Amino acid sequence: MTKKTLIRVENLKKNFGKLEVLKGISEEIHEGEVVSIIGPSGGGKSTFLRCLNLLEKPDFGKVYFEDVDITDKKVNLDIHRRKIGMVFQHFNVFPHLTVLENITITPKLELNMAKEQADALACELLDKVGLLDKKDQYPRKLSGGQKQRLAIVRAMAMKPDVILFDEPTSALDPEMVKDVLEVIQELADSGMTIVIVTHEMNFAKQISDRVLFMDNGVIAEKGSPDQIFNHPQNARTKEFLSKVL
Amino acid sequence: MKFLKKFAIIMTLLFIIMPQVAFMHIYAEESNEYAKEGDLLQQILDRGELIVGTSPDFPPNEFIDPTKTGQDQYVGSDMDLARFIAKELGVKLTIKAMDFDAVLASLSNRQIDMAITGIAKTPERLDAMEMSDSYHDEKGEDSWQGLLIREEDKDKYHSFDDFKNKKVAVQAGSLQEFYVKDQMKTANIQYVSGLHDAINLLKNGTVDAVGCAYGTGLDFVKQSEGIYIDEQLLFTLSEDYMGNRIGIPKGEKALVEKTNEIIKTIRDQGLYEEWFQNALNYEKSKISGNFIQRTIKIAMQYWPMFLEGLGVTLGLAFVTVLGGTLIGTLFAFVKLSHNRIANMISNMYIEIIRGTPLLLQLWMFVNIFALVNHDIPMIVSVIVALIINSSAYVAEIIRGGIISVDKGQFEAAKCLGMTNKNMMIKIIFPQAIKNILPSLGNEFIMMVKETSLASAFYIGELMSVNNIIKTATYFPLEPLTITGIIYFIVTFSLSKLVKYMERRMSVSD
Repeated sequence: MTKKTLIRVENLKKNFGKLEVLKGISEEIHEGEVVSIIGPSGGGKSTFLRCLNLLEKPDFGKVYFEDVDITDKKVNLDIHRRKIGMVFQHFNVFPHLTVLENITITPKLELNMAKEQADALACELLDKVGLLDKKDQYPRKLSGGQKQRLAIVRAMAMKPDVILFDEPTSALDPEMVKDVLEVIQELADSGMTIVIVTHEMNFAKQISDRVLFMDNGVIAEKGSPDQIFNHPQNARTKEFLSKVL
Repeated sequence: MKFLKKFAIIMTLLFIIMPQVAFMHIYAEESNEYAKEGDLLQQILDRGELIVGTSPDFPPNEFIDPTKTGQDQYVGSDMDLARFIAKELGVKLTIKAMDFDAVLASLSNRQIDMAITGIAKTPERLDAMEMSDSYHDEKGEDSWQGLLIREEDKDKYHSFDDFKNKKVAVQAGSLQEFYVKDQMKTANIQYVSGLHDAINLLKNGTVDAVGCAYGTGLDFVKQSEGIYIDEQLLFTLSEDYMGNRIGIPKGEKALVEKTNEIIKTIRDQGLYEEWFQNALNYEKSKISGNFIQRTIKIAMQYWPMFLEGLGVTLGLAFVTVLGGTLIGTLFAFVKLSHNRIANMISNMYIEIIRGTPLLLQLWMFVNIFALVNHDIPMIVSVIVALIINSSAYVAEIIRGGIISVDKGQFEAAKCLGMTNKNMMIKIIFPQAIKNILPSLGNEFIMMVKETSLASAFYIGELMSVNNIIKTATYFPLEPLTITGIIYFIVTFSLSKLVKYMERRMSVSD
């Protein structure tokens, strides 16, 4: 890995009341890398991911994005967040905006993109995920899978340097999962940096450059998909994998 | 967010400073008293206007002629007196109508120059104001202070002792209160704000007697059936307290002197007796028939007034909710912000306002504004009080509306790198409005009703109109019925409209 470091976290700690969710995590995400985070529920995966764009404010430790300490209060977080896309389990598309507006609103507002340009970009992206014919509809008419593809496109329209996926297929009906995973796969193939929290073990195995196994607030084991899935060293990793595979 | 912090700080300062300013004014007033003494007469002459407060529900001394508008509608012997004084001073007369208590309060606030409303001298009043010489000695039966009772009871009572544990209604702060307390120690007092209410309570049996001046009592006996004034039941009057006097703000000796001069002229020429007789003979609209016929007649005769009152009510409610929304929105955002001090302040603001009665707030603002500047019209104080009151409720409505938006919407907007402002305006508010608008509609409906409390200040909304018509017709229940029907029709249609709106909005989900 000689590639540039995109995100670096140092000794990250987070408590929810008395519960210690993250117990001092240090990790780096490199440019162009696809990193999967797996592990049992309550292990701190989502919290860790949400700390990367400071959706959760860590109690201790630092997060560097492109060498800027974004935990520093003086830093304008909005500017950095524009380069860190995020896709949620529950899509969080904007229900009062059309599919097209969902995508174009932020580039227009925050990147001063002209309407024509934003519309053209949105149409191009929608076409890629097969939603172009829905562009003037409101999200309530879309299926879960379509909503999630819209959410991905919405994140991509900001031309981010990395996209964080927080269990993107967990809320989907099984028949919708494949469509969404295909879109993420294409994104990975195009060289996008991706950090994904997922329960789709086969997908993680197939898409990832690296896999982090998190349990009990720490990264218990990390390595290539082959190392983690085929030759796990840690007892907890073995136990977890034996249950899910 | 910086703006919110600033707003919170400014509001804190306002909260701390506002009472100080008001109190400083009180101190200033006290220390300047000697410097200002005698100044009011000059002020009146300089501004060319005499402001007289009166409680126009006291015929024949002061009442409202509903066929007239503006200043001309205030008639009665005291009003003739006021006009005469203004003429003698060579200034224009402005009559301000309000409840009796409000007249006395406005006088000590110096919002009015004189209180001419059949005021008699009592020791308590001498502490609070200057009193002119008596302008109406009420010789003979005019001076009598007595009791109104139900006609059917006229053989039951022979002395004040027969009223043991009976309920006697008196106007709060009136001379009769003084006499009843003094000479009917075994009776129970029921306070009312106006004599018309007292008569109604007497008729329906809530009270057993009403303390009032004999002349006024006779007037009521003439106008409404079933009540009786007994010449055997009269209070023993002390010479000192006889007669009607003009109330003048404390310390205004020059104005008192000038007033007494004018009163002397009036007495020498016997003018007041003339005015009093005229007032007794004043052509009043006599409305006959049964309850329903009377109600219809009153509605037919006075509908333009009711309509105007409704207009004022709706206008007040609209301005209130609009202003309340502007201020309330700011407080909602402060409460949603994570600044703990700002949070605490806006919490305090909201809780204090929601935890105290609107009527109290109205009085509070009317008084504070009067201390700061006497020239602020009553309606301004009332509107400010209403807006402040509404803002606390609207703040919660808006906060509730914003909280009701899914947390994921905030997160999605933030992750896209939207600024807080854009997030609120473009993403959160358009979704929150669905919950906010119907609640604002309901707040408007509430306000349509709540503004009736402002009728204590005769600002012309529907309930004030009701009071005026009640005084003019001597029928309390009929105008109340009409007013009630109007309120109901308006609020009922408005709430149907809000429901319709709500349904329309939920369809778009």
